[in-house]
Amino acid sequence: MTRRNNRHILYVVPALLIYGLVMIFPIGFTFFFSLWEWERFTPLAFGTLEHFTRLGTDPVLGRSFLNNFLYIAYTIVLEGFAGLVLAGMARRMQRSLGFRAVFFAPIILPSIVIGTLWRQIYATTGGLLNAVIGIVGAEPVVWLGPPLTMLSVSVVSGWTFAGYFMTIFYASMARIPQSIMDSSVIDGAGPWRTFFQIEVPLVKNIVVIVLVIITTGGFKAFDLFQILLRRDPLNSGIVLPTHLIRTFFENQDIGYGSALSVLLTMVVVAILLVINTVGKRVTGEIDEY
Amino acid sequence: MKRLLLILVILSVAGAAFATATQEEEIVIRIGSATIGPANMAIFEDNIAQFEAENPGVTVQWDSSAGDDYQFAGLPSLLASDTPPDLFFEWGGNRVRNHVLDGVAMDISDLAEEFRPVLSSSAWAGFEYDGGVYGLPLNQDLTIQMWYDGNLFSALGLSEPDSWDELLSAMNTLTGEGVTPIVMGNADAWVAGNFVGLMLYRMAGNEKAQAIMGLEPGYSLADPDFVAALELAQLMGESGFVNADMNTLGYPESFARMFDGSSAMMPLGSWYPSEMGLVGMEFPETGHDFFMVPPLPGGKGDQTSILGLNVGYVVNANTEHKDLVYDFIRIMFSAESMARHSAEGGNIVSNSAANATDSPVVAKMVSSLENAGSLVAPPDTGYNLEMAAALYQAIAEVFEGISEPQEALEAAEAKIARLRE
Amino acid sequence: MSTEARSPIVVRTIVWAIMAVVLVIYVVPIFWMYSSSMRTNGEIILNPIGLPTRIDFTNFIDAWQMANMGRHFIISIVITLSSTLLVVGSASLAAYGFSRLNFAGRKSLYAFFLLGLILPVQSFLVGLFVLFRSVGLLNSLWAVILPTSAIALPLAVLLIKNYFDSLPSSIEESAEIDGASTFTIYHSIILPIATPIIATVTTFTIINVWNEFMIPFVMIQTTELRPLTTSLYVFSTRHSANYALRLAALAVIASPMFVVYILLQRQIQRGITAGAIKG
Repeated sequence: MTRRNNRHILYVVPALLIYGLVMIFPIGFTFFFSLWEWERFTPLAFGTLEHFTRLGTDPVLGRSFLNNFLYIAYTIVLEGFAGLVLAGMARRMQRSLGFRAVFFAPIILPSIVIGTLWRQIYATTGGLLNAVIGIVGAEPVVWLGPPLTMLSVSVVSGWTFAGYFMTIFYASMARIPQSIMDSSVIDGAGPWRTFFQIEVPLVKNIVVIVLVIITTGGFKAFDLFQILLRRDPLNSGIVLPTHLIRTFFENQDIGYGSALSVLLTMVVVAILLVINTVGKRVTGEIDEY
Repeated sequence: MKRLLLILVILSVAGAAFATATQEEEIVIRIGSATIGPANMAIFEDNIAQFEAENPGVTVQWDSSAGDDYQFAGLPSLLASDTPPDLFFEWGGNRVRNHVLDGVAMDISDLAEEFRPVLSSSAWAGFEYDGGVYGLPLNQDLTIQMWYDGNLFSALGLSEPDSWDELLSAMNTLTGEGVTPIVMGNADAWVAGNFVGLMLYRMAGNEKAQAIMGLEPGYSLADPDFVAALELAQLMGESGFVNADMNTLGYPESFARMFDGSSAMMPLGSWYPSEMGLVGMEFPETGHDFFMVPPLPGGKGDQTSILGLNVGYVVNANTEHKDLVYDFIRIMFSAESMARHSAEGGNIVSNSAANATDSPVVAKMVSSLENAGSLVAPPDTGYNLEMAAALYQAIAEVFEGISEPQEALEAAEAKIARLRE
Repeated sequence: MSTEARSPIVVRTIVWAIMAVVLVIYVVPIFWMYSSSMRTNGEIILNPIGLPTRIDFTNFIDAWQMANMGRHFIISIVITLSSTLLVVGSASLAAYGFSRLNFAGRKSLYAFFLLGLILPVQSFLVGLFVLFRSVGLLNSLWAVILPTSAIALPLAVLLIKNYFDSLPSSIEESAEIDGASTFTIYHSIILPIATPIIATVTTFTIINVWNEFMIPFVMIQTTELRPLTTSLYVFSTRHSANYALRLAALAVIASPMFVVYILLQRQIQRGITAGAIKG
């Protein structure tokens, strides 16, 4: 470490400017906007809490929250748990590299490609999935409509991200010392038990991180919902981010849009705090890999 | 430290050069527009070519977003940007009025005089306010007609229904043959919204419907007449008269259903023929035709009303190239261009359109318009957008069968009650 | 290697079978995208599962031309290059400052950066839109370059700083004795050693910016300035009646990504998962 020299702060100034001006400053802006009354882009009067009281009475917001939690629940299974199991199976194969490379591949594709492709797969005419179930004589299903909307979107999420989480789990499991694995085999533990009672607990910290990514990611998800569902006239798949974008950009309701944005920020930060606290308690004692 | 700064400067200059290199031109006339059918777009492209040839050093940039994106987010964002359009497409009425209030729409009374003899007198409604003219109407969009597959109809011995009962019985016949009577691509909410929107006027009467959707105090979307209109929609949903996936099917996607023999009718606007390029066809070879929505049983309003409005182009009040824009408009609205639009069915407001005898479908549109008792505005272009969104959700839910008409409209009213104050 | 070797043959067979099924779920949609692109729209509607009867690239060429993809490719490249330059340049400087130098407020500024790791895009999008609107940056490439850079910065700074932290202080000591400036040490000693982590940061920035959808969706409404992602959104919505054409457009976009992935698989996996493993 060199001597203290305050001119060295110049090194962090460029990054600070971009990050501060583009990210932090507008957050303050957003909070500030939420306390104004607006007529489209013209601020009228400062000092109103009406946008925040409206949060309590907005029926679409309730639906958005519900859908968001549903999406998170589904994706914990379809992305996280699926990734975990895939990693476990890959460890029990002789040559898994090719499989792992393929499972990881979707994440490099832009969401517009994934979303549009799956919109076509789910389509009633010219759709792959309905054609496949048609072989066994089943009637076409409206996959992207209620009651399947959230599940169908989550499946696409799972298809995209399961391989990503598999890669993360696989990498951390690979760091578990062979001696631990060997001793469990000597104990006569089956592969199922070895996996859930030895390997998974040893990567608990990664499990917590993955949970954080999926949960907070669930509150950021926009692309797939917009691309798969378009305007979704039934609001059967509306989530907080799509509700926010529609309120702000379509209704040009800056005040309420800002209030929704503040709410979303607080939800994400709160979840992180909760998972961090609980996560520390869970992962605290055991050696981690 | 100096070198550090130098590198940063180079970096940002390089970035700026990158970013601006793509925008640097001489004089650019920008035109904002919703997407336009390929046939009509070809005419505009010829207009642009002619204009650019006549005005060396000037380029025309035509920005078109997907229709609904233009209406909701596209145009407001274009207008808010550093490079706003000099001329932009608008739906006449409430929206143009807002532009006048915002100071974005230019009073073009002088230019309008040149076109008075060419355009029919009813075309200007929605572009005139307080003695000023704030846009040039290119077309009168009839937003809802029933387009149908003529070959399929005649194969099944069906003819154009004159009453609601006849329509119902035609739909019964069609479902009996395994054909979906009506296909709607309602993923963007406005197709069913416009279809039922017309029924709202017919059920409640124009004045009351306008008061309800116009957010006047003391009215409610859950009005008994509106409920009655949605009950007709509910019946269609329950009877399988509409496609089961209507609320997830995109608007262009729905066109394919009119050509694979699976569906017989589509409620859509006068631009239907000009969209045939999407499925790679010319309209005359499709054997498709239209009839107007027949009178509703128990309707209190004008049963010959037509849902529609004038659409046209507004000159940006802040344009720096007013004369060039005027010149471009003169090409765009020239008798020759108008006649070509008419032939494509994309224009029925010019007097030349009325004479376009070689296109029966255009002649039919013109006469339908003449026979209509009134022209009423679609909920999403004539009224507040939040109201329209709430109403459209109610309509979508009723077709889908997940809400009763009464409760759906009450829920919609609850969302917008605060706007009635 | 040894875990799998020790698994009983029954277990290995079952695992193989399940993995093969999963593989099918992954491969079929992609295969279908390519095979359907070589059929006509009518063929797809009649029978979505059928195979192409000929090798035909018409749809790919049509999609390329109708969607004006050449132009949007260039826009995407410009945006991605600019963002990546901004991120790698400013993050490596900042990480050097945070890791190897000392100045007032160093720790708190660093903590301030880490805050960005948890903030969702939507928390600043509204304010940013209004800000960009008032300074006339809407519908310019800057409206995408700046936010995508800002989003990538916190993780980039964190990763590079951690890497610098792991270097022994002896590295720059001799140079300091020679009287070299801190900047000389940065660019001629520290940066060259940091190539692996710079590569990682470059990789995830390029992929994230290239694939970004929401920011250009909100910020750019001008047709000619749309990057590939949102221009494809408009195109595929507009031409969604032509399934073959739409799928061909997707295939055209996806193909270069697959090629790059096959060539640089290791690097890309490391880049994309860096956030989760180090964070």
